[in-house]
Parts: sequence; C-alpha cells; structure tokens
Amino acid sequence: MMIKKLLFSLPLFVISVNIYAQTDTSKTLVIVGGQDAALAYNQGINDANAGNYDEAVANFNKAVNAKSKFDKAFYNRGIIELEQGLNKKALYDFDEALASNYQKANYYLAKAIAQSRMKNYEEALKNIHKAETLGYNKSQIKYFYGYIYFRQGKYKDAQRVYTDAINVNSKYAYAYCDRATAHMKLGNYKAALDDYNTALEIMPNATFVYILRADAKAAQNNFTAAVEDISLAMKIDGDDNLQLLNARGILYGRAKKYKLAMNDFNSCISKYPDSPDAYINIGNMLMNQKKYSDAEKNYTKAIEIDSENIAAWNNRSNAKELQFNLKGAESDRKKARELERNAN
Amino acid sequence: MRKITILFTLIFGFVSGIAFAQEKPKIKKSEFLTIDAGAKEAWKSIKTGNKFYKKNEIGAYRVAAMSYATALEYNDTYAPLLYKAGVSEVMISSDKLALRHLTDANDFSSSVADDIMYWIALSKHHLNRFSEARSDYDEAASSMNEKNKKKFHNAITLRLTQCDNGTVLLNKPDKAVAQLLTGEINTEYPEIAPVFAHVDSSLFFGSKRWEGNSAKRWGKDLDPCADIFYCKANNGKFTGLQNESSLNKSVTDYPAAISMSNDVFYVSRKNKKIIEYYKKSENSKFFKRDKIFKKVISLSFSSDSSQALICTRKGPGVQGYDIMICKRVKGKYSDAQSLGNLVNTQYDEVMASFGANDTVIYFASNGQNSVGGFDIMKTSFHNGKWGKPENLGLGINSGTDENYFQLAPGETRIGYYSSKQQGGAGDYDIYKVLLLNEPLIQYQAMPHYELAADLAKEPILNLEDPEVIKTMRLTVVKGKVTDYDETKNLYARITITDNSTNQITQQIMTDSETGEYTVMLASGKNYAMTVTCDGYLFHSENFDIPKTSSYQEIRKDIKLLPMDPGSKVVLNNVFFDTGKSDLRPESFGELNRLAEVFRLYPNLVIEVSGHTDSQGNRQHNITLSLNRANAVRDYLLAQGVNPGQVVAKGYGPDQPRDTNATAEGRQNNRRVEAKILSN
Repeated sequence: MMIKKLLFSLPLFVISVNIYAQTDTSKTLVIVGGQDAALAYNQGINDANAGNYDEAVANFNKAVNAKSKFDKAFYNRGIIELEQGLNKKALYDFDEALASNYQKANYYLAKAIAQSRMKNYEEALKNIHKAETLGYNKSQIKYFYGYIYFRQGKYKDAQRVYTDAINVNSKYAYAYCDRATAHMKLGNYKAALDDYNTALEIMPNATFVYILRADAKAAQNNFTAAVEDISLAMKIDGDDNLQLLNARGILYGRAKKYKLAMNDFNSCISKYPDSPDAYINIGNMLMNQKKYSDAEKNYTKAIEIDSENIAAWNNRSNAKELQFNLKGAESDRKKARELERNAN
Repeated sequence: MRKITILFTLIFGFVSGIAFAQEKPKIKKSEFLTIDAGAKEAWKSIKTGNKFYKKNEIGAYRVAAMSYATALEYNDTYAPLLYKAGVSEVMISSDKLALRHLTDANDFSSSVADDIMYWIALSKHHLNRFSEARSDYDEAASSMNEKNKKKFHNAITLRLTQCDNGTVLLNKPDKAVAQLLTGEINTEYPEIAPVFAHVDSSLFFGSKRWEGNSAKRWGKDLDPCADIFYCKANNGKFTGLQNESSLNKSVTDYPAAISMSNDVFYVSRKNKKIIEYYKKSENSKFFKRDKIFKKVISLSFSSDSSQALICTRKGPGVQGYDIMICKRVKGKYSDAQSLGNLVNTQYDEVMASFGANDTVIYFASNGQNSVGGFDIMKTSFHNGKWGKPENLGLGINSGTDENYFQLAPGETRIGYYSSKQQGGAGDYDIYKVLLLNEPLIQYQAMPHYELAADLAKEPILNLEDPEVIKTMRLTVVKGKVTDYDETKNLYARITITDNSTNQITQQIMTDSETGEYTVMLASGKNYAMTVTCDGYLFHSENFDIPKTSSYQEIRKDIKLLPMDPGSKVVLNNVFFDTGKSDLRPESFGELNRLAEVFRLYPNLVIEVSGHTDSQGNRQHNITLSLNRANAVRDYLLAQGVNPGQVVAKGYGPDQPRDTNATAEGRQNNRRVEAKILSN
C-alpha cells in the first residue's frame, strides 16, 4: 500500500478584509462556501501524504461528520487506520464506505486486507473475489490471493497464484519476490534465489528485495552472503539506515562475528540515540551467548529509551529468569503482557 | 532386552569396557627430542605420561594430561604426543584443549593414528558442535581399518544418532537452564549427586577431590573414592565446606536422598551398589540404621513416601541399568516394576527422581534421544503408563554427561544436577537448574518481514482522489474617500452589503491619511456600498460586479458632502418595483443607515424627494414619485425619526440628473434623494 501523492491542491484562503497596499492577484481566487466536507477530506489527504496520520484521521473525521455518506472519506480513513495497525477500525470504515458505494472494487480489496490482518482469511478471500468480479487489476488480485494463501500457510497455492500474477504482468517484481519466499517455505532455495534475482533485475534499487534475499541466505546459514546483500542495500539507501544497520548487526551476530555486529549496533546507537532497537539487538546477541547479565543491562537501556517497548520488557524478563531472578522476571513479563494487551 | 554399555563412564571411575586408549602411536625418542635444552625433563614427562595413559582410567588420564602438557612445552609439533595429549584431555572433559591438540596432530600427520578423526569428532561432540562432529564421525568410520571399524561400530552408530538429536534440539527452545554453582563446591575433580536439605539449606554432594577427603583409592582409580561433603547456602553462594564424616566410608559414597524432616539420610555406596539408611542423632551426627536396598545405585521417594524410584540392573549378566518403581507395603518397599519400555532402553537409565507431583519423573539416560552421554530426561504418567520421555534440551544437556537431577525440596521448578559441560571447573560440576514453565521466546527489536507485501508495501491500495473544490474569483474594488472638493482625505467607514441576501459582507475603514481603501468582493453580484464619516452626509452606491475568471479591479472614488443645508445624496440602494411605491426589503439597510444619521444629528431636517424619468404620464410620475418619497418618510418615522424632521416631495420627471434619451440616463433619473434642509 502506498499512499498516493496529492496532485490537486488549492490555496485555501478566506476572503480578506485587510487593506492591501498592493494586491496579490492570486489571492482573489477563493473557495466557494459550503464545501466543509470536501475541504476537510482534501486536507486529510494532504496530511496523509505528509505522514501526519493523526491529523489525517482528524480531518477525515470532520469530513464524515459534515457529510455522513462520504464513502471516499470513510475509505481513506480506513487506509490510514490500516497503516496505523488499527485493523478493526479500518474494517468498520471500509464497511461504511461500501454501505454508501458498493461498486468500488478497491473498497472490497481494502476490506480484505483488514480481514487478513485480523487473520480472517476466508472472509478476506470472499472480498478479494468481489474485487476481482468488479474488475480490479488482475495481476494485483492474483498477488493478493497469494498473500492470503501464504498467510494461511498454503505455500503451494501461494506459489501458484504468484505465478498467475507474473503471467499477467511479467515485470511484477513484488510477485517474484513473494513467490521466492513461498519457494523458501517449500524448501526450494535455488528457485527462491532465481526469483529474488529476477525481482532485482526489474527493480535494481529495491532495497527490500536485498533484505528478503539476505533473509533467505541467512536461513541457509550463509551469513557472509546475507551480510553482502544488506551491504548492497546500504549502498542504495545509505549506510546510516537504522533498519539496515540493525539487520546487518543481527546477521553478524548469527555468524558469531560479534565485534562487527557491535560496530553496526553502536553506529545505530550513535546515529539514532532515541531508538531502543540496537540495545535490544545487542541484548539478544548476548542472550544467545548466554551472557544474561549483560543482556539484561542492554534491555534496561532500551526500556529507559522507550518504556513501552514490548520486546525490551519481554526479553529482559527472559534474561532475569535465566539468572534465576524469578520475581523480577515475572514482573517484567507482566508489564510486557499488559503492553501487548494495550497494543491490541 | 539386552542392555548395551559402551564408551561411557557410568557415574564415574573407569572408562568403559572397550579400551579406547591407544598405546599407539609410539612416541619415539629420536623423533621427539630435537634440541638438547630441556630434553631430559621433557622425555621424563613423556615416560610418566605414557605410564598413566596406559592405565585407561580417568584419574590416570588426569596425570597423563599434565605430563604431556609439560612435554608439549618442549616440542608442540610432534603429532604422536599431540594425539596422546588430546585423547587424555578428552577423557578428563577438557575438550577445547583436546580439540586443539588433536587438530594439530592431524595437521602435522594425518596418519598419526587410525582413530584420530574419532577423537576429533568426540571433542567437537562434547562441545555441542553436532553437525561438524557428525561429519567427522562419518569420516572416521570410512577411514578406519577393519579392526577399528568393528571396534568403533556401535560407538559411532550411537554417536551419529546423538549428533542428529543434538541438531534437532539446537533449533528447539530450551526447557530448562543451568547455572554453575559458585563458591567452594566445584573443583577440577568430579562433584556429583547434589541433594538439597530443605530445613537448613545445606547442599550435600559427593566429590572425589583430594582436599578434605577421608576415602582411599579404590581399584586402579588414581583419584580417591568420593566422600559426601556439604555446604551452606548463603545469598546464592555455597560456603563452609565440610566433610560429612559420619556418612562416609572408604568406598565411593554419595548422597541419594534426605527426608523432608532432614533427619534421615540415604547414602549410596557405589562400589557395593547398596543404599544405606542413616538417622540423625541428637548431636547432629548420622548413625547407620540399615541397608534398605541392595544392588541399587540410586533412590528417590515420592512426596508421600508411598513410592520409591530405584536404579538397578535388570538381571544377572545383563549390562546397563533400568529405572524401577517400588510401592511401600507395610513399611517396606517392594514389588519393583520397570517404568516400561518407553522409558527404559537398551542403554542406561539412571538416577531417577520424582517431580513436583508424583506423575513426573526426571532421570538420566544415554539412550532415548540423548545428544551425547547421559542427558536429563522427563517422563510423565499418563493413561496408566509412563510416557515417552522428552529431552530437557540444550539449556542443561550437552554432548557430554549430565546426571543426578533432583528438585530442591518444596520447589517445583528449581533443582540441582551434575554436568561435565564446558565452562565448569572440570569433570562433573554441580549446577543449579531452573525448569522453564514455557519456552522463552526472544522478541526481535523490529518486526520480521517475510513478504515484500509487508516490507515494502506493494502499492495495491491508494487513497481515493481529492474532491474538486469549487472556487470563485474576487474583484478588487479600490478607491479613495475625500470631501466634496477633494481637499481632504477622509477616514470613513465603508459598508458593503450583498443585495441578494441583504447581508453585510464587509465593513472597513479607509486609510486615515490617504483616504484609500481596498475591498475584495465576489464577482457576479450586486452590492450596496455605503460610506459614512462624521460631519459628512453619507454616500450610497449600488453597483454590479460582473462575473469573471480572471483578475479584475474596479476603482471607485467617493466624495462626501458636508452635513450642511443644501447637501444632498442619492439613495442608490432604495428599491421599488416598477410603477409601484412599496419599498423592497433590500432597501431597509440603506434607510436604517439614514435613520442612524438622525440619531447622530438630532436637529437635522431633510427633504426626501422622489424622481422619475420622463417616460409616461407626467402627473402619474409626479404622484408615483411623491408616493415613493412618502414610503421612505414613513419607514424613517417607523424607525423613530421625528415627523417634523422629514419632508417628502415628489418631483416626477422635472429634476433630471441625466439624459432621458438613454436607458442608463433614465435609470439615473429614477431615484430617491435626501437633501439637508437644516442642521
């Protein structure tokens, strides 16, 4: 899902009552009144494209309050909620959108995505089918069937429909990429590598393909090659990308190259002091080396940065338990579960 | 079922029946001695090493390893010495060092010994490097001569299975974890059979250490027999090591069990394979009461003492040990029954103890799915039988031996056991064990994405397009307000009214110095503009702004007449229907402003005059114009204006202000005026 950039934008000036020494001619173009819903809706799109999701939702709220059957506003609010992981709310909004306009294929597809996020795969498949019958882009429909089958653990079916998607659109890099993951699940490493390589021929600068290919190589315990893939991704995205630095650090750790792993994690810490991720990754690496006390210290630092980080609380609980600090472990585990409940 | 015992040192003592210690390769003096300096001492160490190496016994290997280590300081490139040093180190569980020596020996001469790959594999196996060990065992099996192949066949077959088990467990979460006990407990010698006394937090265990040991050597063993020692637990550390002399004899002794009341102690006499029963006296010394079990090497009781677990040989001439369960009948344990074929294998199952409830049993086995040597297993009683045991995982088990697990009294998750795993003080060491309630799941800092659809967000879903917003173009109205002679710029109030809605849309003040003003008005509408200023007669303007989509500017300069007699203003925003004299509602704004002028000037007297164009009957026009003037007067009076202050006149077409020849001129001539008569 990518939120489309807004192409259409109007200067939103109200009628001025000021005296202008010199008149700015552009300011004589003004918006006709009675368009509150549309204005809030458009502003919501602007906010969404700027990544200001809370503001976007607030504006879509205004839009649907001003116009109760505003299907596009419900749909867009649902898309933002999907982006925020608020799947239940998103599902409600897609239903509202469909109640006003049941002929929109993308509304069914969005509903299917929300349902798949809630692991309601059978219902999701029904809605994908509706989107398909309403003429939604065929290769993308096949691709999304693949997504659902994959999530259901039906890797052979996923493989088949990803192939269908590729047959419709031979340049469909995403389909190659996810078919590769299905191949991996079915134990066909060579076919997976071929698909990742094809995806990279189509989208040579797609760092996510390098990340997934690195994952596949790591699954074969080929950590050196996996690290090379992440390093290639860093050449595209820059060597100060938090996700890539952490990913490479983890791979170094799995290869038992602890010094190199620490270099990457320390880079994360110096470049992103507000991110707890590197501390958690260091903690995990130390746990794997059975250095529980040092791991606990790193999880504590992660918690100091982000007191609501579920991974840090959970993993510190593990570290405490493995040091026989059962009360401390229980307390941290309780906190992690509480945060998990709130997150859901 | 015939029991098979191979390779392993059961409990501790001699290396098992098959003598793996190779006298070959021979360390040749002429090859080993390279330089004179230190040669004599080095060769002496070789001879000592060889002497003990041959004994094929753990204590002797300990001495051999020390001697060879001294010799290696003289020459560490001689393969036969490296081989023997390596084998000795494997035997005393110093596997990291063993692997180094054996790998070096193989590098210097791959033909140094026919079985060298086996020992390399074994040391890797002990270090949990299961995949590598498996590969090396395979290589050993294929490269050995026929004699060795036969000799090692059973051992390698079992080891390969154990490596496979280890590889499986490497990918499974641990079910228990171990923590090496610190303090005075663990030494380079074996410490075994930890039994925790709940009442006074004492940990009893067997140890073959020399220091404080009252026992003698037994048989060929160079190490002393084990004695029972104890330490007190204090803040997680064990201190105050004592030899519990009242329990020890000159044979291998180790604790089997302690009663919950701490006053009955069960001692295993390993050499005699008996369990003895001791009672605590008033002076806290134990005194022997009886031999309660014969031909038994371990004992454990259920929580209510109604059952006992023993470990014994199944029958005469049968190798290996099985776990049996006995019921207490009339104060005696009898009717020993095997735990069944799911638990007891063709190998050894030993040292069983009950779990937190009596439906779980922990024990050590080198059969089952052991990953190497003895591993700690768990079996549960279900549907009338003891189920298939599960290995408690690599958190506590390793490629070498783990044994003697017991829960601490009153604990459901914490116990103690002995392990030879790497990282200890040497040989068997005692560890504290935590049984995990559930596998500990390590959370990742960032979500792990498997699909491009998650990681890169395939652009399936876009936001719906924006709405098209309707706009309009404003017209700029600019101008200047001055007095009538344009000698003075006026600071005047300008009020703009949308005549279609009769709503004031804007109200502004002119610039106090220049009299300039600017307003922006929606195009395509009709407006009333009223200009007021203290001391001046207000000005009324009515104008249309044509529709336009492009920029438009209109200039309107306004001249205000003074509030003096004779000054007059056209009431441009007073409207009547054609031929009628009823005021249209959109006139009220203008007339209200006129009424306001009377409030500001209480002495004001005006004439309101009606005018028409020249079209039509003159008399009719005069009457119409008078009626219209009266309509305005009536409205003003209704707003509270004194009747004496407003005079109404109808001039018909007689006072035109523009030509009657054009429509625009006639429009200008149709009007209502207000003229000041006095003020």
